[in-house]
Amino acid sequence: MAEKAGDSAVTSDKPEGKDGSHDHEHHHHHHHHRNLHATQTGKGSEAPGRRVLIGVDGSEYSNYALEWYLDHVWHHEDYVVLLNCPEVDDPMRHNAFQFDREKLSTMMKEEQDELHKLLEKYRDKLLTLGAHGKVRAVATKHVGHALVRVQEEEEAEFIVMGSRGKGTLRRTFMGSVSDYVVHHAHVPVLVCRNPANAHGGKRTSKTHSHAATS
Amino acid sequence: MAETRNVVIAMDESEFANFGFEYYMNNVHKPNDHVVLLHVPEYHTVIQSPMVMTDVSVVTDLLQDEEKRIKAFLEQLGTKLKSHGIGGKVKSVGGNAGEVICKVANEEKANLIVIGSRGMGTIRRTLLGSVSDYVMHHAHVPVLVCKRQEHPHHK
Repeated sequence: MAEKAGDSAVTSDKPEGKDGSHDHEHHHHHHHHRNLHATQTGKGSEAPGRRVLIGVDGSEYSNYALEWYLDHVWHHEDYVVLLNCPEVDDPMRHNAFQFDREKLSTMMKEEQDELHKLLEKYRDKLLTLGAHGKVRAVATKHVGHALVRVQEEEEAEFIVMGSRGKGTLRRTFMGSVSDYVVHHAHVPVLVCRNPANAHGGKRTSKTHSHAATS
Repeated sequence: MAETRNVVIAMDESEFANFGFEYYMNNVHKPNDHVVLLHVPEYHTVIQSPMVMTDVSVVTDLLQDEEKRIKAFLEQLGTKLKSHGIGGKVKSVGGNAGEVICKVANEEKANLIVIGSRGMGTIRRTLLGSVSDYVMHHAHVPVLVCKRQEHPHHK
């Protein structure tokens, strides 16, 4: 990895155990979140400013959210945590009849490399700006829950995210993650809708009552 | 960048909306921002009153009371802008809150919408509808949904 000017430390977190937090509204979920990677930039957690969590997945939506935050809200002293939740699918699922060990391990390595490339891209972005922060990757099936959990861990004051993600996999139908986070996070959430996709209102409106704020 | 940004902040008399306003002021506001405090009046008292059908003069009185309350609130909002030294305006537009907020945001060419959140549970949101939900899914610009750190047992 090419090191640019500015501090950068790479750490690999130990895999974490079961997350036992409860959500009073739903039947109880126990979500497993496995830490994959963490990189710090700038002063790291020593940074005196606001702590902000930004969900990133390489999609244009989250890129837009990150850019918007940097253009409109970011202060130089902010401690920015970029969280990526990659799809670390079990390759066996797609290739149940593929018993070629070599092929499988190549696939897994390719996935790892792609993930690292993505995380490096984000790290470099922070470094270029001279931003203090951290890039984290957490493997999980429930991205929304991971975001809320990491917000609590990192004690972030607010969360920034796109209105949708890549939406390529079953687990995240369009907009479900931002929905979840807005309703479960205990801090403000900035949901950035990409103007290029302004007509993507995928939901039919519910009957809305006469409440001024919810 | 010293460009002017247009910000629409949905306001009602609740502490949640006020929290949204304060949060925006403390964390996002820039001196050049043009802020629209948007109130979507709801004639709760009148609509929910059991006497609506019977006595016209009672309805009129209720409506007038409501009008007075709204007027007072809008003046409060105006004072808020002034005391914070914000360039902007106060708007009151009737209708379905979510739709109105999105419509006004378009008209005002907003760069950002700020809205408070009561943090209603799933069932209440389904039954009553949620304005912040609607705005989040229909706005063409970033939406800052402000929920504050709650005590866990207040859910």
